[in-house]
Amino acid sequence: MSIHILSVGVSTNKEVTSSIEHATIAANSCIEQSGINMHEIEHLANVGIYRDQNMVEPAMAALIQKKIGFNLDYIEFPDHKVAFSFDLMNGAAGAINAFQIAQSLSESRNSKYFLVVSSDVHPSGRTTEDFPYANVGGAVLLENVKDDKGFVAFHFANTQELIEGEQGAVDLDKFGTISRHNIEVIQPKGYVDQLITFSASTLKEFISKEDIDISETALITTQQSPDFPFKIAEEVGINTEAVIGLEELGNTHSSSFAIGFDKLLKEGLDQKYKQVVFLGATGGLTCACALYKL
Amino acid sequence: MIRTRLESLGAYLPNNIKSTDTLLKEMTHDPLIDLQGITGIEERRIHGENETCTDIAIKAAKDCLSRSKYKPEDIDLIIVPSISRFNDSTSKFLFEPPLSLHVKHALGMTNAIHMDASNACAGVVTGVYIINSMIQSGMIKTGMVVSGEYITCIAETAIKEVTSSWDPQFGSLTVGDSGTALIIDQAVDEEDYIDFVELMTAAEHSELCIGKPSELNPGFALYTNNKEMHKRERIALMANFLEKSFAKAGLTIEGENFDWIIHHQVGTKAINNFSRYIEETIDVKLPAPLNCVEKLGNTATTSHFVSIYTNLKSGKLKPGSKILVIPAASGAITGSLSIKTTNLGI
Repeated sequence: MSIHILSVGVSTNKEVTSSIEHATIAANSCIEQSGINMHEIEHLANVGIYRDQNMVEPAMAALIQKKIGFNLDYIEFPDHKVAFSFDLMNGAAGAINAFQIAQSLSESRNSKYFLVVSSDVHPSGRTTEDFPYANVGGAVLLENVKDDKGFVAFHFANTQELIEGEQGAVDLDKFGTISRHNIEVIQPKGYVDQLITFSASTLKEFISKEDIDISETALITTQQSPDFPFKIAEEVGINTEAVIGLEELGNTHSSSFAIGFDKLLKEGLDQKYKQVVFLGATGGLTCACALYKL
Repeated sequence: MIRTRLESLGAYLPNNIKSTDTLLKEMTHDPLIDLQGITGIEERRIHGENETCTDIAIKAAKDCLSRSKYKPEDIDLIIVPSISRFNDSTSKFLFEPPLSLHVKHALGMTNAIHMDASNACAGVVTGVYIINSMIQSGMIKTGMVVSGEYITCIAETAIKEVTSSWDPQFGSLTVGDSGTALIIDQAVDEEDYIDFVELMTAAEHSELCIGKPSELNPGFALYTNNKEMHKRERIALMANFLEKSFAKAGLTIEGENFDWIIHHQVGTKAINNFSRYIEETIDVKLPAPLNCVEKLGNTATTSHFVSIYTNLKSGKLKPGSKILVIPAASGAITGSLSIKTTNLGI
């Protein structure tokens, strides 16, 4: 049994100024493309980190589930079923954790559909120079299928030493009564280069461990810099043509995998390559890899 | 399908105790309420000065590990589901990197995958849901859920801003700080096991309880539409889903001979109402509630497992007990967790 990507959705309209809104738009597009009845979705995970107005409760996933409109209350709406939603937070790499959890739920509970959504808009909705993440959203709808394709392997690694890397926090003393609308994201000098080095070495381990033929493999990564995925690819010997770059959008953070896979499909690369490696790099330093057979 | 178990349980309760009486005297506006009479809460714990959520989580985790057969390097997955996210200071609320990264490093969990899960007061049970599934599917052998809550940050705001018992921040006056940590692995016998864990989000009601920074004072606030949150219709869904979950597991509630039920620790009257409404709705007899709310308040994500811990320590909860855990959280989340615990050694 494995988890396949049934469809993806993307939201890049710059007029949208809410993480919840972007995630919902992406999810609605994703569900429409899939052709499934949305009430068949049993699980929703939001892996976006930044929240409208710095809301910490409920899970943003619950608010997104409400906006999408599936399985809201099966007593009040008799055609609705049961769904469970939650937020997963692991910097830019959370989607890889979500894919692995979806895999486990498909096996342990025979769960059929799992929706992963993401968006990282500034809590105020405004675009500022010092907030490094793109105003976008993504959605990936996963389906439980009985075959040997889809997600077949996961690998997680951390540096021995704790290196926070990108830190996003709201300082309540500093921002006081305007804390709802402010956030500070700090990326220390040299962080991206450190992350590239660590990610490349983790990817080499993964390639060796899973005996991956890189000539048949496309690469989708988080986008800490315009050349981030290309530098990693160069280190491990993956051809530039096999790399999905999203430099036209900027740092797509937790939405990199949805948007990256969407681009892979639009460019027909799913016909050219046999598999995809998803690589989520983030503070920790953390590197999460997933192998997806097309 | 294999069953998992609670292999070890830990908790940390800060030393500072604040009575409800003291809290009421600190309030800026006199709300003229008998808070203890309404909630049954006599006192709650307050974090130490500069004691952060990460500090609290680490202490709970160390307590848990002290009675576990596992060493930190044996843990395959660590999940931190705390609502409050103060890491290196009590004023900086951290969104990334996750708290679990910091906790994992502090404990030496060199082999653990880490992630934070955020799901309001159902966070720890969400962590159990995920780890239970990942063990059952063979992806991991061991997992830890650890939550450290400096949740009284919302009480600090409420003390300044609440004006009456109808105030949307009223619920914030009931919270208390704590930490809990659980290690879960595969069950090996009939003495300790998790029979099942079922959770659902009735997202139609997701806007009834919102936590975000206040615009009147520096600090976080929790705004709850209490009347809607505790309406009979919400409890009807709780009851109906409970019955469905047992039927799905091929069981009945009464057939399981539970010794105790643990509701989310919101207040004694509310807890009794939950049980009463469930009994009336699905015609079932529930066991007596096992609480800790009177002395600890609503401890948010940790509430059910802090109740297990403190009641084991007092001797009220005996080894070999079967417990029905019912989460209730913003989202709105309900569900059930059926657990037997014998060898926690607390």
